[in-house]
Amino acid sequence: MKLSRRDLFKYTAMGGLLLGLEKSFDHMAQAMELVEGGSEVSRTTGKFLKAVPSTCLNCYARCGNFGFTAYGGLIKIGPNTDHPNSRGRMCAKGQAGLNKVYDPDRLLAPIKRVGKRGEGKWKKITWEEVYVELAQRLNDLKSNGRPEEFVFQSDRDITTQDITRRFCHAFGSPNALVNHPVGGWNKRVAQQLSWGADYEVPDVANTQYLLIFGSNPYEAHYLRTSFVQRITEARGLRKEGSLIKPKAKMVVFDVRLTQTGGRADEWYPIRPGTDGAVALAMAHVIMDENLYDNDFISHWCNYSASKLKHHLKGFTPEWAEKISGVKAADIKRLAREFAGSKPASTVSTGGVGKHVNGVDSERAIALLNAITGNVDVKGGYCLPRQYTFDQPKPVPPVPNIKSELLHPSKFPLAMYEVPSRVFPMIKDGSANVSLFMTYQYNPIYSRAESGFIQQILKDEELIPYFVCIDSVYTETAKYADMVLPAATFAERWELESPPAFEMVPFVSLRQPLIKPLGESVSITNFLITLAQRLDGEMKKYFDFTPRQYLEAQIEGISGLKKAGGLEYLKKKGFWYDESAKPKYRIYRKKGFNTPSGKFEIYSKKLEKAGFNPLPTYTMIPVLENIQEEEFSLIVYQTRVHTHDRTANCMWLTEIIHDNPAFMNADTMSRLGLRDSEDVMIVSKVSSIKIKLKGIQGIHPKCIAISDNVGHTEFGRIARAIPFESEIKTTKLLWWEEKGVNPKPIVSLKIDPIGGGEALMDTKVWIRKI
Amino acid sequence: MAKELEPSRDGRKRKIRYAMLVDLRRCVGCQSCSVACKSENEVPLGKFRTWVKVIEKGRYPDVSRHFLPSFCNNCAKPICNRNCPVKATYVRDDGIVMVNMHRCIGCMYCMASCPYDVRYINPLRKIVQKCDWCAHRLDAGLLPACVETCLGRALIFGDINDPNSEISQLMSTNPVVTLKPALDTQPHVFYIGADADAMDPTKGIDIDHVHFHEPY
Amino acid sequence: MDVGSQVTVLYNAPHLMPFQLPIAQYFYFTGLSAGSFVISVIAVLGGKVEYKPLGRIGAILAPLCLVLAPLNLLVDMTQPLRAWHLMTYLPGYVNFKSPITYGVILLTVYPISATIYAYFVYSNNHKMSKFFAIIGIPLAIAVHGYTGFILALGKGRALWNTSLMPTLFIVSAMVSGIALMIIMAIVRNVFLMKNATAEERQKDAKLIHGLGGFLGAAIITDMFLLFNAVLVILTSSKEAFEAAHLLLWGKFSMEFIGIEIVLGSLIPLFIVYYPKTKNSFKWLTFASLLTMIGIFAMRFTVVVGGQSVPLH
Ligand SMILES: Nc1nc2c(c(=O)[nH]1)N[C@H]1C(S)=C(S)[C@@H](COP(=O)(O)OP(=O)(O)OC[C@H]3O[C@@H](n4cnc5c(=O)[nH]c(N)nc54)[C@H](O)[C@@H]3O)O[C@H]1N2
Ligand SMILES: Nc1nc2c(c(=O)[nH]1)N[C@H]1C(S)=C(S)[C@@H](COP(=O)(O)OP(=O)(O)OC[C@H]3O[C@@H](n4cnc5c(=O)[nH]c(N)nc54)[C@H](O)[C@@H]3O)O[C@H]1N2
Ligand code: SF4
Ligand code: SF4
Ligand code: SF4
Ligand code: SF4
Ligand code: SF4
Ligand SMILES: [Mo]
Repeated sequence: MKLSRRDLFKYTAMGGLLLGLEKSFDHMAQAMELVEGGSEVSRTTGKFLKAVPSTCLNCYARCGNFGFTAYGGLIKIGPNTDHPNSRGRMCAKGQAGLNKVYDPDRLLAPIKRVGKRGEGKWKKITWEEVYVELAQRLNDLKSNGRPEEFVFQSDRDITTQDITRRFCHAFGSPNALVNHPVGGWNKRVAQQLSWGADYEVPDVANTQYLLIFGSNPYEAHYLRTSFVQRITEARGLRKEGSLIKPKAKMVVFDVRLTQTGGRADEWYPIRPGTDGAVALAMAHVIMDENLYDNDFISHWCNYSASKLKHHLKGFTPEWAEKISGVKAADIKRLAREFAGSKPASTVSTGGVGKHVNGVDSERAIALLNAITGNVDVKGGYCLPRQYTFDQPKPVPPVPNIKSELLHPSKFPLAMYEVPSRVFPMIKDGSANVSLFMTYQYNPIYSRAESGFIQQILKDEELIPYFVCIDSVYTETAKYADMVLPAATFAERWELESPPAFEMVPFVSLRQPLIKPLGESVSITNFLITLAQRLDGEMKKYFDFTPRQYLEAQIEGISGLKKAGGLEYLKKKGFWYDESAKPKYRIYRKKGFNTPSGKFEIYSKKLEKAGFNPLPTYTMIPVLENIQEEEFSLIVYQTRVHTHDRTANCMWLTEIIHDNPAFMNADTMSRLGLRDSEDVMIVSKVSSIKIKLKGIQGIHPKCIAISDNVGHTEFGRIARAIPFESEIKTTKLLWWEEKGVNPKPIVSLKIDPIGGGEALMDTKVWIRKI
Repeated sequence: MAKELEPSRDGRKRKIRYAMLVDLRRCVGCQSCSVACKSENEVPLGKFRTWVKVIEKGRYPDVSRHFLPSFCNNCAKPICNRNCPVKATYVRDDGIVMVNMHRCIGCMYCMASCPYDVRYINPLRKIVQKCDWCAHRLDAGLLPACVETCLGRALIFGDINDPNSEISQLMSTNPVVTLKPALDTQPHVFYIGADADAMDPTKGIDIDHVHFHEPY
Repeated sequence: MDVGSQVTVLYNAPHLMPFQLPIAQYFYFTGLSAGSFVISVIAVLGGKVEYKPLGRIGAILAPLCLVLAPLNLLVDMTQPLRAWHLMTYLPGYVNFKSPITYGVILLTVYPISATIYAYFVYSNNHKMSKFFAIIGIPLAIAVHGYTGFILALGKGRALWNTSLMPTLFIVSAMVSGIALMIIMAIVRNVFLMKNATAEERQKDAKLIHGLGGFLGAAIITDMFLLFNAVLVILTSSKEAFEAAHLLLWGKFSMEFIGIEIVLGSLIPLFIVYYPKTKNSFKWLTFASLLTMIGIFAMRFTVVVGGQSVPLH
């Protein structure tokens, strides 16, 4: 599989031709005549610049990029043409990675609190002082026999979770709360229960039908750039051999009209939290009308078709219509279409998972793929193809200490801890913390009921020492005792293996595009250095250089080693087995990674924990019987930002710096509310002042407020303050709005099965001011 | 400057004429083009060489979204060029309308006369700039930065004098439109599937309350 | 409601406004200059001795206003130090198709000829001043006409892009020029003719009253042209209609209808023709001042209002 972008178009052809003009396909083979990328010339000298291939991390998608340097500085970050997933494209956020590195408000030296917690008074300290202080605190904890009171949390730390976990384990603390996104949390648990993998990868380039629930890949998805480029391809005519395939249909269920929904063939404004009902009703139709794939169900599912039919009896389209507001006739038609257009796949992310019934709904959606036989087929709902990395030997054993933080007894099925319970558990005393360390994590900005988190972090009784590692001075850093400057993704060595859209797994290297600015240090270097200062066996487990660590990680990937290992990666930026062909139905070899080895429609694990073992629908209590003057609050991601991390990227914040509360314009006029009017939006937790904006594309019972803006710390760009700096253009900052962070009013609700935060389950009212 | 093509089948040499095709069936409205350009060309805050207008239209629940990326059209009859008094604006052989930053006096007449509002004064350099299809990249054989990174691969760039180029092929098999064709500036940014409401600058706004930025 | 009309713009780039107040002022001053020159020339060519003072006032005002006019341009340019680029009249350096280039040529030739003209007017050299008057007339008209062309060739703006624009600019230049002359003539009559005989003064006053009639005629012509322009832009294109909207009942209706039409045209028109006011210096001064303000409002609404229809 040699996939340069140019070749790729030879096979998949330019999509989008209106008519079946066979002639024009042949011409597509030429693609554009100029070179697509991987190079950069200086605008002044016309000379080619030095290019370093690496991997973006301005969001979770991890696209291939190039850093172009000159005179010791980073000039531009551009896409890597040959990267197998992102194929030479990079989203706005990736392009603006440059802003992140050269953010004039970046944190470039360690600082230590001198005033009261949260007062914002700091003094600069040296790294030596940092290590001395931390070593002393850690050694004390250890010698007092309380190593588990060292708690490390990094919410979206994907790549460095192995080394941070290693550090905690070697130290003797099980409390490495280092896991995947909260948005993907419930999904991950649901998927693990159903088929033993974390998430699906729709083989979109080959699909004929995309049924999208609560996901917005045109703007935000965990594999966004790689995913969306293949969707647009599938949305045009494609050529396969001598055949022309019709364009894939795209149907979107979303409470608001997103860019994805707005360009789809059909958009259904569904009532929030009711996707599971629609999916079950579709499954009902497919089973009832015998449109299912009997072969897959009988061989690869752990529940028979007849029993499933029986289970789905009550979940009729008419029942679902009452719950979701989607017409029964539409549900029936879409179910038939979905079952009849093969291959097909569903897509579902935050809109499904960020509800308290997230796991159930996710499982209902996964079921649709199973009963139509779309699981891991070409163009279907595929298992992720990824490499896992080794750890240098010796590997520290997992400390044999029971941890409520890691495995809360109230959430027996939440296999990856319950991040949103961390602060409540610290508060209610079910977890003792002496040294709390966060990395790449800004809970005071990003978590529900952020006001509550703020109080806990402020309380020195509850958290005696708090170290925040970040590249900017965040809302969370404000409450730290020590803030350590972290190298950004453009300054670090890391290995990645995101799920492969070409269905051949690959390894992607993140290497420094430039040396870490100021005194910033990568987490790997920090942990290695700190380990050397600690008593006991720490030194033994961290007896390697960062380079040796990477080499040990790829030890098990023999093909890569043969190709040249790290040196190969440094030159190309990524590696995959070029002789490998995409293989489908890989479960046939060893079965699914579930207790039964099958796709578990029926989950014994769920049964044991006292939940319904079959895909089912649970009403969301707060959103039930929502009254005339009540609304569901939807908090979503925008196309040019990633949560809070991009707020100081001026090119992005220039585009989106404000977040009015979007409401259905007709609802607004019925309630006598005007556009641009400031109102208070009130929830049980708190209230915010925000201006309204009426649009047509939103469910009349929803208010949608985007995430990403409304910072109170973070930097001057995030807070719309023009200033003089080395980046001359910062003085030209022209916008005045800085947005409003909706999190203070989002109530903290957790899916009892998955343990994931239900960010979209808040009931709100509007109060005129 | 512009390279001559190899003699074609009819034995005649042709000049290169670059053009941009925006296939809106593929555009996802991600604004990556816009940011890539800012990075490539050091476009200051407040100014854009390309931007993506986003509109919503219809009535609930029959609503849709439409996008419209805009660039300098590098017109074949560029009024900016006709009006520039000092020939700071000039046209290359390959059709690109350029600004000579050493000659521009900043009279802003080109800006006032361009019907597409694609020129701006760079407040740091105090001269007029605009999209020049990344001429420095073309000269090095590279595609424009925005085209390179376009997530939907909605931007197709090339030589319309070469009948075999992808852009020529697409343009000869699809209906295309340009912005404000009646003005006869002969724009060379072509659109497939553009929405009339998105192309209409006066749609969906309150004309009495449009905010105008300072020119520099 | 019609589905197509339910459009919400969710994102768009900022709109820029390249020509601002200095450009309006520039047009205003060139207009004043051209207007006063033409009036002066008419006086000189008319040959009557009584007209001589008028010829003199105009001869001074014309070059004076013309010094002020380009200053506005210089202030507005972002590279004023490069203004000399405009005068390197070498092929390849200067664009002879650009109205600004016509302007630069005119702005160099016209002040010279106007100054020479003024010199002869003051040195009472009839023959020569007549000669330079004849040369100057097309130049003066061109100087102001070209500003009209600047706008008319600003193709992107529906309000400007009409062939009426140069004529309209010339006529409105006359209006403001006459108004300025009236004021200057009244000032002269009241303050500077202390030594003159009553008869002389009487004559002079009559002359000024005559100018009032002139002003009225110019205003009527100007209004007629404006009416034509507005009537056509109301129907010619969408952008043009929006521009008309802005002027007639939108954002600029205060400046256009209120100041330019009512204050700047209708009221002065009434004053200069109403028997009880037309012979009063006070009223005439008032009318002239209003007219001058009105014409400035016109320059402003045309320049700024013309750019107030977004282009994307
Ligand atoms: N309203 C609302 N809130 C939400 C969501 C929602 O949909 N709506 N979604 C939720 C979801 S899905 C998620 S995943 C969370 C994300 O919430 P967070 O993980 O807290 O947010 P991020 O912006 O991803 O990153 C956090 C911090 O990482 C820092 N950072 C970025 N790059 C680096 C680096 O290279 N090194 C270091 N050390 N730090 C770095 C940033 O400066 C930032 O302060 O937000 C949740 N919150
Ligand atoms: N641009 C951008 N991309 C990102 C990120 C980012 O911050 N910005 N973050 C990354 C991360 S960590 C994550 S988790 C993902 C998140 O990616 P997504 O899950 O795609 O994004 P969200 O905005 O959280 O939610 C998706 C949609 O769900 C809708 N929705 C809400 N409730 C419901 C419902 O009950 N039913 C239905 N059908 N729809 C509903 C919302 O309107 C929203 O449009 O994106 C990743 N990629
Ligand atoms: S999708 Fe994410 S990883 Fe890819 S370029 Fe954008 S920010 Fe970077
Ligand atoms: S779009 Fe405007 S600036 Fe570009 S060539 Fe055409 S007239 Fe000139
Ligand atoms: S601003 Fe510069 S490019 Fe534009 S017309 Fe004036 S001199 Fe020419
Ligand atoms: S072609 Fe180049 S200059 Fe023009 S918009 Fe694209 S990136 Fe910017
Ligand atoms: S980068 Fe491409 S897909 Fe994205 S907005 Fe621009 S033209 Fe559209
Ligand atoms: Mo997430």
